[in-house]
Amino acid sequence: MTDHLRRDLIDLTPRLRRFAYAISGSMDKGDDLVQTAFEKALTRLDQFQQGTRLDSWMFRIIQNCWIDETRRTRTRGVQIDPELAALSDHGKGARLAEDRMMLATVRRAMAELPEDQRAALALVAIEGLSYKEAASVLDIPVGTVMSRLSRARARLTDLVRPAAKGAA
Amino acid sequence: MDRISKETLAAFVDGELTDKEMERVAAHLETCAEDRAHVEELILSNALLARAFDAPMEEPAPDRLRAAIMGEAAPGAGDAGATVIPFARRARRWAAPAGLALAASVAAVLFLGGRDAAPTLSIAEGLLVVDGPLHAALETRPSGAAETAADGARFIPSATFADASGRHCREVEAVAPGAASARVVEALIACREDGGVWRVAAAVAEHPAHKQGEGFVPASGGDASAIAAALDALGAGMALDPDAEAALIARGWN
Repeated sequence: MTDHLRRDLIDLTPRLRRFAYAISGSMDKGDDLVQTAFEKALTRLDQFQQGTRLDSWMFRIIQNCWIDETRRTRTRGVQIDPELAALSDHGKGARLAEDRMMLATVRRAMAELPEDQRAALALVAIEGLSYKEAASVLDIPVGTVMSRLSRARARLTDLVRPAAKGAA
Repeated sequence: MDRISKETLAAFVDGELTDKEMERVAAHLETCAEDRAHVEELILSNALLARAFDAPMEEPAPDRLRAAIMGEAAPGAGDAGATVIPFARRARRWAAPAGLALAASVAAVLFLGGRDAAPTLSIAEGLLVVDGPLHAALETRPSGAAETAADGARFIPSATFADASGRHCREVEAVAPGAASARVVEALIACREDGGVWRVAAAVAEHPAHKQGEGFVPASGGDASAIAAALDALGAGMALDPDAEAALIARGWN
């Protein structure tokens, strides 16, 4: 790999970690995922096409690693400890108690979504990918991205609405 | 009043519509309270999602991930390896699609509950009044355009937003004279008061990377979170889109 590409990957790392955190439900698990994905990426650099988006390529590898991982461990969805999620935002997020609780609610709601909906939502709502880019990462049609987003958001807002009302 | 489909409203929030469709939806939202409420809810959930998982954004890449990337390559292969997290991106993440101003208040009230909290890392809060080329940059330059000082230093506004009290504030990157690239050397947030006075709300320095025995030493993660903390403390709303910002500059910030 060229040094340039490595540098780009280092620059991308915060976003890749965020995506992995969002789909796996934990920072530690997310970091394991990103590490595995980097190792995979290093072995198949010939498959990365210059001029295409490195972030999309890495999101795809991370998502595939996650699917492998969940298949291997036969987990259904994200194993997230509700107590832990409520208490910990790794000290980096909100300062106010209500704010922390709301964000914990969001993390829990995200964890309860089906795998495919969670990935679509993370790519579009958090990473800001276009529908087309998300479709290419997930290897599904744009229309499927839209319907997954729509279902994911309906569930998410149902779960978050009471908390949001409380904070307002 | 005809309702607009949820898919279209989502596409509006996600910036997937053409300009013309955006305008149509924005006009519709002016008069349709139900759809407006739905759009606000979508924007709220997007912003909450972004915040819920943003802990990694404020940290440099952990050593083990760096090591995984560097693989077998010799460490120290470059001399500018700091993970500079572009702090401006954090503000821009709140950006709403063009034409949507309604959510700014939602953002200030709901997401950034921290406006009563003391800024933890900002310095010189509210004391320094900006002058000279930095003032010119704040007052007249659109985001992304540089104002160059006589000594070659460049001041580049990177985002414009309203704070919780409705003041206009801007993030500016300062690049030292002779700096090779647009690497951020210092960054500040200033807010405009009556009479064209821009006061510094927060300022941080980003230190260049130092080469050490092995690998890189990131030095900028903390600075990025300093700016992030200052933004939260100000109750920063969403970054204005370029058109709104241009209009504001043209009107002399009124």
